[in-house]
Amino acid sequence: MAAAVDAVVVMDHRGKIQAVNDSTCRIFGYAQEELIGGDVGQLMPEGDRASHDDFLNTYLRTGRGAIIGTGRRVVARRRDGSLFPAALSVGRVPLADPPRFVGLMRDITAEVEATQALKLERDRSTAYLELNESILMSIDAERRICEVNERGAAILGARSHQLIGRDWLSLLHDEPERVRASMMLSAVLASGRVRDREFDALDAQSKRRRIRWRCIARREADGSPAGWLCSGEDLTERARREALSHIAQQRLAHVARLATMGEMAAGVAHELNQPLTAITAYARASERYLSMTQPDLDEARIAAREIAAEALRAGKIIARLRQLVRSDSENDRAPVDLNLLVTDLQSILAADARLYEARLQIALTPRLPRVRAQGVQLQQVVLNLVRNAFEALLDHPPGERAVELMTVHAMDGHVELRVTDNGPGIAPEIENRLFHPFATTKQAGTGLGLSVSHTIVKAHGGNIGHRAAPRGGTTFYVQLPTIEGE
Amino acid sequence: MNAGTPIVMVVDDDSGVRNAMRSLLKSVGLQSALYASAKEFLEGYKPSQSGCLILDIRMPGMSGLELQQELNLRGAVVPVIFMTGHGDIPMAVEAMQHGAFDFLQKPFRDQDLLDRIQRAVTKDGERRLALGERTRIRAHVESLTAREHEVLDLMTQGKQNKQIANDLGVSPRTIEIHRARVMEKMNAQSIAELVRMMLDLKHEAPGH
Repeated sequence: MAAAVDAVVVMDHRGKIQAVNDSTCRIFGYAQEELIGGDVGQLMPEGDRASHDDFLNTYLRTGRGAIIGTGRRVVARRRDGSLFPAALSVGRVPLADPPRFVGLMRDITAEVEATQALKLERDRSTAYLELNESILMSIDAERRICEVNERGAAILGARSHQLIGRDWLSLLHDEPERVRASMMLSAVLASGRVRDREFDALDAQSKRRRIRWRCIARREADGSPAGWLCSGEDLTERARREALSHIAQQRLAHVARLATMGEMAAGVAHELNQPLTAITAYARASERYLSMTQPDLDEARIAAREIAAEALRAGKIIARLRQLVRSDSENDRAPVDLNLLVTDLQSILAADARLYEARLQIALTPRLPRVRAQGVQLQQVVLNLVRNAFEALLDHPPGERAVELMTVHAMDGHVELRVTDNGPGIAPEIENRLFHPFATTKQAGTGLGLSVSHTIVKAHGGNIGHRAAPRGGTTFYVQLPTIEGE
Repeated sequence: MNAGTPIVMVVDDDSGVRNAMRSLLKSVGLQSALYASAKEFLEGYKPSQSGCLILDIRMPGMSGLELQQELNLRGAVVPVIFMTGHGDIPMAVEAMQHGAFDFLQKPFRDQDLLDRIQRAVTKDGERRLALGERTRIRAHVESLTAREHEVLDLMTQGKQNKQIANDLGVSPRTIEIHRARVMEKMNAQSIAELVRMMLDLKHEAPGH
């Protein structure tokens, strides 16, 4: 008993101290004689003494005591009145009558402080983890997920506890990606450096995501692999935006191609001006050379020869233009199913709808007669009209933007394509100029969309126009003659 | 200051047009110099050469507009006639705002071009003459003493000898001597001519 580090206190059934060891004196700051015969209550805070007496009496009366044979944490009181946390276990001395008890007490101040510090540290790191917009994961040497932040789990469509224990590779989209990922982990382990790669991933709901994983290896104290720390950045949104901008670029290319034809015509006209200027100048010059009192025949000859050369040059420019036109007419008009044309555009249209946060409803009348058309150009018209419709709705809250695209039979062997929005309608001051170039109500618009569409539709022998929609908003329609109606 | 025979300088990247210009200009007895690019022109350009510049507004490399701006920066006074193509009107407007003499849309009537060249060359000659005259007057003014300068100022304000003598606090006799000196140094025959000379100097537009 004397050698014990813990305080050992022997107490009788009235709570009087019968014996203490040296540690008790040291821990509590009493001399031995101050304790022996005294009440055990002096070793506890005043407020606990009454309940201690109750426990003791209850035990003596019933033989049941919560503390006997087990341990508990209590608050102990030193001689100077200061308090400290202690672990207490109490045993009854066998065969003693009246009963005697032995109490073992250990000062656990350092332990409690360490635990509190640990808890604080843990709270803090958890907070850091949750503050982060990335997925932060710790995985063990068998690639099982040991820890993941809630925010990261949410990105992966789950709660963190649902992910714990899962194989990290199961978050990847397919076998090749899993092979790539497992190779990265090995490389990270071998090099000890951080690596990052983008992966096609799956979330807990098997939805496809694009995630950039950054991993670093952890090792045990003995150098054996302990697993990896991984941070994942969700690039799905970015990838989606990139895809959308790709679509936008494609559409721009469409417009550009149309614009290019116009520019080429202007360029050819400009080029033709050069030989024409030269021819005019030479012709007038030679006229003068010949009418001089002493005609300058040499100059006149040069001029005549140059006129011929310049005329040939003009001819070549025109031949080039004709070539351009011919190559364009090679993908000339062919029978086109309007429904099929719209269906082909569906993914672009849907992407547009997402971009404008609008609802797009497509209603196609089946078995529509075909039209003779240049498909690419008609697609341009459809895109222009739908896009205009979306843009007309920008002042509506996102939930209320609705556009309907329909194909229907029209009078006299025509088919009609309708694009209806639920927007504010068309301002009267612009209504008459709607299909003129550069008429626009949009801040960012070129004002060419409807004008280009008008040109295309007219070239196809069709009509384009608009009317107020029955339930507010505007319907733009395109009517095209069908092949059967020809 | 004699700039010799005026030369019509043609800058156009199109050799067909360039050579046709030479033929046309020669047929009316005008001397021409041809340049295939703005760069080539700048390399051979002498500000003392009188005449005018015919400039294609669209050229690869330095455009006609850029060449005009470069010439403006150098303080060159040569009149510029621009040749424009179809749809170059906005560029032509810009050229005019930067002091172009005129512009012509290709293809043009030869007479339209020749008329403009005639006017441009005349204007260039006048401008060079005026420039020479001013240089001469300025040299005369600079040869005056400070007192003679004061007398000149008061003379051109229309003041009589007596008034000038009063203003300067000297005798009318002294003023008479100064006066004679001023007339002599300025090479002026009359007070009216002296006033015109000083007005010429004053009205010289800065930078032109």
